[in-house]
Amino acid sequence: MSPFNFILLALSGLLAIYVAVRIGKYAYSHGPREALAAATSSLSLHLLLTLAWIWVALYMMFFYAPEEATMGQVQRIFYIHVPCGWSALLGFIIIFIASMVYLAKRSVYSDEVAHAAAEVGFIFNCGSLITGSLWAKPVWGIWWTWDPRLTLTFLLWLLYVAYLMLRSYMVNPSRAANLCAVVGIIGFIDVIIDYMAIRWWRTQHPQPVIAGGPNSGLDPRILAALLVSVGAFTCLYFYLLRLRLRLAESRRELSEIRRTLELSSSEG
Amino acid sequence: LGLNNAYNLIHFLAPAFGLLWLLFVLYAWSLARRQSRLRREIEELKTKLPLAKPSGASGH
Repeated sequence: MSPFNFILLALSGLLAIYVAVRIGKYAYSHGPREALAAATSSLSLHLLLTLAWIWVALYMMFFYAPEEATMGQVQRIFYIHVPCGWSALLGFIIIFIASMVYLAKRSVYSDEVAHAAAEVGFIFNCGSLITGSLWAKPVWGIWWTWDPRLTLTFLLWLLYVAYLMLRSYMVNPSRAANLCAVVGIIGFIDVIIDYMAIRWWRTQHPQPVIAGGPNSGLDPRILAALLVSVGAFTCLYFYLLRLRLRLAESRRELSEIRRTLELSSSEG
Repeated sequence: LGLNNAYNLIHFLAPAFGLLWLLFVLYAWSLARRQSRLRREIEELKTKLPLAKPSGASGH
């Protein structure tokens, strides 16, 4: 058995055991009917879809896609690095749209979506920088270089940090929402330049392999594995976004209860 | 696996996959932890709500 095969099998086994234990514990404390309802809830089904998709993507990355001739096995980082970068950009696209909606309609939900998208997008951006660095070292001989694409991705990371810091440190939530919406809209310029960087300038970072002109392209099996992986990461992004939105909903519920209690005690 | 391939596999490919999944798992775990803490707090406060409401009503 190859090491990849073994790791995939071991991961699947551990995951199956974990899911069975969680369902068992839930059924023990809440009863089998509630456990069944929780297991078939929309979020649980989304998790199941995400895990199955990731499993297929992992299989395709290691077994379906051929080994790249020049870089060898390390090229397989490509299948996680590109989807992470895509999801980080997707995060800021969502922030941009939600911020526009917030400024136009003053909808609290749009503001919550923007905040949640920023937190999840930040995680994917970290993933993109980490995997990129780990790929650059064996291929370029350096961990990092101030090339336009890398610099703009780092700038995106700084924008995410600034956005989240504003959220944490500003005392007035309404002012924080306004300011963050402006940051979200202005920061979107970086997303466009970041996406176009490898098309506008000749950079150390490889030129685009999809929609990159007549000389770009990939082996069909590598392309298929990449697309499945991009789909899996997008699905994971939306799953984490939904978890984060559920948290925001609970926070809102908590503050409403606190307000009711404060009102009751002041009336009393 | 060639020698260079094996070296890259251990030093770069495995850490890239490992660190990335660790990042996702830690984030999902932190979300679940924050969620359960909030739910617990909500449930605690909800038990005070029916007590608070009649006392508020009696004030009128």
